[in-house]
Amino acid sequence: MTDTNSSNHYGNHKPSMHSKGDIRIVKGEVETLQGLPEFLNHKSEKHRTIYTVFKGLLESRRLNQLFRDFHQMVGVPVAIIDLAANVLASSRWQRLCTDFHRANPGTCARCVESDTELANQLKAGSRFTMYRCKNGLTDCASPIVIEGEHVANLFIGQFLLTRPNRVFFIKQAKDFAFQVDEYMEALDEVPVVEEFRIPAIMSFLVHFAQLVASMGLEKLHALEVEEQSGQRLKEQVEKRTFALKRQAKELQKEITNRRQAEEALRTAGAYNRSLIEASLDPLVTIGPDGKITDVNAATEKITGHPRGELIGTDFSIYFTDEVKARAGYQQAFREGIIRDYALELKHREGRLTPVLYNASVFKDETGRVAGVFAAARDITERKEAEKEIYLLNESLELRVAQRTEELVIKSSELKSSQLALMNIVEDLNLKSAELEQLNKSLQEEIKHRKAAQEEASWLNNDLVKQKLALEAINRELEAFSYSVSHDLRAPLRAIDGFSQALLEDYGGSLDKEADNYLNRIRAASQRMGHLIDDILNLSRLSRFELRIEDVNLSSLAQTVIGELREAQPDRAVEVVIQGDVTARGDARLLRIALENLLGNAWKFSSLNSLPKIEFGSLAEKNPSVYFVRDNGVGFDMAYAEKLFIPFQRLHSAQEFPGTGVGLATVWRIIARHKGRIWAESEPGRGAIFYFTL
Amino acid sequence: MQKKKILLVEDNPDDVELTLRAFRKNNIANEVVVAQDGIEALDYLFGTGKYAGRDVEELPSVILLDLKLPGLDGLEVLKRLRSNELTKLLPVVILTSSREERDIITGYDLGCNSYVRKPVNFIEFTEAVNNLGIYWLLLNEPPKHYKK
Repeated sequence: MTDTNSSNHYGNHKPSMHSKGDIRIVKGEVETLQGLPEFLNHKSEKHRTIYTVFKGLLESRRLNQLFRDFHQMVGVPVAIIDLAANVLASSRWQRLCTDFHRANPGTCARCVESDTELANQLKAGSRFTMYRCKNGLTDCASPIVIEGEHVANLFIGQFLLTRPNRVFFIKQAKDFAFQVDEYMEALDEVPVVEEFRIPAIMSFLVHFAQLVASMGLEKLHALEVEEQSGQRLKEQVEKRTFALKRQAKELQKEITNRRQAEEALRTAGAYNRSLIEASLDPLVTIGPDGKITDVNAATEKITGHPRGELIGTDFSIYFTDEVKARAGYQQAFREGIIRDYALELKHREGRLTPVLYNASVFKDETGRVAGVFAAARDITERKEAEKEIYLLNESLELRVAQRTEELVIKSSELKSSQLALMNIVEDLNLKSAELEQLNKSLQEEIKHRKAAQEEASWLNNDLVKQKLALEAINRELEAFSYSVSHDLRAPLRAIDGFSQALLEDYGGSLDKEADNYLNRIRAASQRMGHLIDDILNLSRLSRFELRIEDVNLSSLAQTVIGELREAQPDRAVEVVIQGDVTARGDARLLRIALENLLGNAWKFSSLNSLPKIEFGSLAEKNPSVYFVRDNGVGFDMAYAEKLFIPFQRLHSAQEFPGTGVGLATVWRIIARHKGRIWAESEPGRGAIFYFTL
Repeated sequence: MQKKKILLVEDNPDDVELTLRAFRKNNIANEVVVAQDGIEALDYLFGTGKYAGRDVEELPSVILLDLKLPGLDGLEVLKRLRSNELTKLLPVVILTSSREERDIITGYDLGCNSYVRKPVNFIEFTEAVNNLGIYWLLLNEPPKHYKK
C-alpha cells in the first residue's frame, strides 16, 4: 500500500452520492444501485446489503478525519479497501510512496506486486498478514468480517519495523534516479513501528471498523423491524378500517331494512284492520281476563252494541249460554286453539244467532300470550237448510216406502204375467224344439264350414222354409180347430135335428125298430158332439194362458160336487171335502181338472150302494199332494199307464159313458202347472188319484 | 103395426131349416128374413144390392148372426152394423156352433147383445131358440131408433 490518489491502482473509486451516513437511503437503494461494483454480482443478498451499509458508513468524512488523526498520532497510515481494491477510507499516505515509489514505473511495479501478494495471503484465510514490500517498507492487512460476511480488508502500512538501512535506500534512490536528498528526507518521515505493537494496532482498527459496521447494521435492523411493525400496524389499521367500513355498510343496510319493515308493518297493520273490518264474520279479541279488547263492525251488528260498549266487557255475557262461552275462551287460552265451537249470540234486542266459533291465541313481541282472536260464523242458514233436508228426507222416506209398496205389488203382478209368459214360451218351445235343433246344427255347420257358405245358405233357405212351413202348420192347426168347432158340429146338429124331426113328424107311421134307429142316430151324433168338444178343449189347453193365483181347491171341489148333485139329484153320494185346501195355480184350469176327477169318481162309484167321494191333501208333504178318492169300480193297475192317454178307456161306453179325453185333459192341466199325477187302484176297491202342483 | 121381423144370417141350409122349425115348434110366427151371407145381410139392412129400394127404416127386431160365413164373416158384419148410425143400436144375437173364447170376447167387444151356442141336441136347440124368441121379441124393449 503505497498510493493515496484516486488515480492509483486502487482504481475507479467515486465518492457516493449518498455518502452522508444516511443508512436508510443507502438501504433503500441497495437493490437498484446501478453503480454497484461488478464483483458483488455473484455475492449474496445479505453480503451486498452489508457491503453497501459498510461502504456508506466509511465514506463519511468524519471517518477519514479519524484515520488522519490516527496517522498523526501513531504515524501509521490506515486504509479500508474492498475486495475489488477500491479504497473506502484512508488517512494520508507517506510521501515516500506517493511522491517517489508510485511515481516511478520501476518501483510502482514493485508496489503492485506487493499489494497482490498481500491480498492473496488474506484470501487464503489468514486473519492477519504482515508483508515487507519490494521497495523496502512493511504493510499489514486484516479482513473485516461483519455478520460472517468478509466485506473488506483493513490495511496499515508504509512504515518500517526497524531503523532504515540508509545505504540500501541511497542506492535505491540512485537506481531509480530519485533526488537522493529529497528521497532520504521523505524516508525520514516514515515511522519506525516496533513489531510487537502491530497486532494491537491492527486489532484496534479491525474491531473499530467492525464496531462501526455492526452499529450501522443494528441501526438498520432496528429500522427494518420498525418498518416491518409499521407495515403490520398499517395492515392492521387497514384491516380494521375495512372491517369497520363493512360494519358500517351492514348497519346502514340494517337500518334501511328496519325502516322498510316498519313501513311494511304500518301498511300491513292498516291492511289487516281493513280486512278485519271488511269481514262479514264477527271477530273479537279477548284479553286473558276474558274482557273484550277489540271488535269489528260485524260484531257490532250481530250484538247490537257499539264498539265502545263492547270493549272492556266480559266476552261471555253476549251469549245465551254464558258458562259455555267462558269455557270456550278458557279452552282457547289453555290449548291455543278451538274449532267450530257452537254458541248462540244474543242481540241486545233479543234476537238470537247460532254461530260456530273458531279461535286461537296471539302473542306479543316477547312471545307471551296476549289474548285470543275469535271469529264467529253465522250458521242460521245452514241450520235451516239442515232442517229442510231433514224434512225432505222424512217425506222422501215416506215416498220411498209408498213407492216400494207399489213396486212390490207391481212386481208380484209382473211375476204372474212372467209365469204366464213362461208357459207360453214353454209351449212355443215344444213346437219349435225341432226348429231349434235344426238351427243349432246349422250354426255349427256355419262355424266349421265357412268356405261352404253357399251350401250353408241353401241350408238356411231350407230352414227358413221349414220355419215358414211350421208357422203355416200352426196356422192350419188353428184354422182346423176353429173349423172343427164350427163345421164339424153343424152336420151333427143336422143329423140330430132331422132325426128328431122324423120322430116328431112321422113317429106314428114308423115302427118301434125305426124309432130305435133314429134314437141311436141321435145318441151317436150327440156323443160325437161331446167328443168334438172334449178334443177342442184338450187342444185349447196348450194355448191357454195361465193366470197363477191362490186357489181354494176345497171350495172349487164343493162347487163341482154341487153341479154333479144338480145334474143327478136322485143319486145319494157321501162326499167328504177337507177344508181350506189351497194351491197356487190357474183357477179355471184347476176347476176343469177337478170336474174331470170328481166327475169320474161320481161316475165310477155309481154302482156302489153307498158311494163315497173324498177330496183333500196329504198331511205334511212338500210339495203338497192332493187326492181324490172314490169307492167305485176301480181299475187294474196293469193298465194304469193308459189312463192318461187321450181316447184310451178302461171301461166300455155301455158301462160308463165317456170319451176317454177327461184324464188326458187332467194330465195336461197338471203338466202345465209343472205338477205330477198318478193313480192307485184295484178292481172293485175304488181308486185314488194323487196330484201335485 | 107390422109384426116384428127377425133377420137370420146363416149360410148352412140345414141350420136355416132347423132354426125355422124351432121357431115354428115354439109358435113364433114372426117373419124371418134369411140372409145367406154377410153381404146379403148388409144389403138387406142398408137397402142395397138385391134389396135396393127397401125401406131401410124398417128394421128387424133382432138379428141372429152366425159367425162362420162365406166371404164377409159374422164379426165383420157386426162391426159394420155398429159403425152405422142406422144400425148401431140394433139388437144382435150371435148364434153359432163355436164356443171359441176369442170369438165370444171379440163378439161382445164389437157390441153384440148376446152370444148363444147352437147345441147338437135338437131338443136343446129348440129350447134355446124358444128362449131367444121370448126374450128378444116379447121381453126386450128395443131403443126408439126409428125415424118417424
